[in-house]
Amino acid sequence: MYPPSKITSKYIALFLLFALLLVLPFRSFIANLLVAFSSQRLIATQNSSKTIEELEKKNLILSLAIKKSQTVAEENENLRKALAFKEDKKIDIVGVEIASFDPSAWRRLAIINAGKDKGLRDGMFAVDSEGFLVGKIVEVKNNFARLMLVDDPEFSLAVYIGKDALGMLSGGLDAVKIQYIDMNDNVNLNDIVWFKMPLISYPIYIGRVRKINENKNGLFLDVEVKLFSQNPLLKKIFIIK
Amino acid sequence: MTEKNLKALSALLIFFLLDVTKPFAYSLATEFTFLGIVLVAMNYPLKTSLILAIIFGYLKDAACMDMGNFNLLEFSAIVTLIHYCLRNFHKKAVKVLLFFGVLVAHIAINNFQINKASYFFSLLFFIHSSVIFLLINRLFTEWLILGLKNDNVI
Repeated sequence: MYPPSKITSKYIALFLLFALLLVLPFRSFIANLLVAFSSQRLIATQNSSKTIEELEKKNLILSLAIKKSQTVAEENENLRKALAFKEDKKIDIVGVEIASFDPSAWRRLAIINAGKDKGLRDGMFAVDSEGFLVGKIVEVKNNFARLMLVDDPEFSLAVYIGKDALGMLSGGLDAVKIQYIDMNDNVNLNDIVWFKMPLISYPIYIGRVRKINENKNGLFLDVEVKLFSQNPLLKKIFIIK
Repeated sequence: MTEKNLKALSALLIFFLLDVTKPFAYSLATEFTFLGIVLVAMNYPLKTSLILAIIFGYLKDAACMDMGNFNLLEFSAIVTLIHYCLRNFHKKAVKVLLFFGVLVAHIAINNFQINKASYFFSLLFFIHSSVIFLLINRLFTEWLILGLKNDNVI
């Protein structure tokens, strides 16, 4: 037992340390320290891989352009007329690397080695070298940013399924699901899940429909998605600006 | 700082780095720092384990986003609870039951925190963490005993 009478000065000192850590704002300093540590680790390979990064960037833009041309062929005349009023923004990509991960197993967050210094902003999307969605930026600091991966429990994004069905993609540790899809929508297994960024007409592919459950008591379908980009650790990541 | 304390500190530092770098990506559903804190709490006196829990809880909070002081409070509570139980219950199975109890509580708290019940992931986390704990417990205890033996020889 630990009755109050046994509390020594050591424990009082411990309690004070505990209270001090609760109050003092050291946290951003430690986060910066972690990023600096990882950046040192990455800096050696950075110089040699710059050329490769440039080539990968070009390759990614080309593969996105091919996907765009495939989608354009399927678009109907009315949609094309509607889009003609908007001018396409020139796509700009920044190659980044993952410096570290969120230590919690219950979140899917990564720290990338670029921040405001490379022009990153909240809400920008990250794709892998094949152009598949990896996640979106949720916090930007001067020299690093936090990336929320697609399967994080708090991730959400409006997406298309197949040709015209619309739904809300929400991440999860068990499965990535799409919510609010009407029972009457034409959704089939292996349909492509994708989304379109504002002002950029390239479709960004996310995954395929893996499972469809009809909820008898509900109004919407329950759709599970198999992501195209499964392991961000092994791939170079690009941020679409 | 004694050799025994230094060993605990270095082991926890390695566990923390494993959590941050995730060499097994997301295929291994476990938290090494959490397991390390439980291990240290079971093998070290209250003062040492509480200091380490505070340091690593704070470090984990600094590396996490939107967590407040969640890990600092959780680790300190775990250490205090484990020491309380170890002082009041002396049967052999206490450590095993304590570990599973703390693990289940950790899973429940985290599910509550993310506002989503992830049943399959929770089961995976339970299995992976149990196996990893078994492994590190054995290795860590052997490492400690080896150090004590060497001390005796000298």
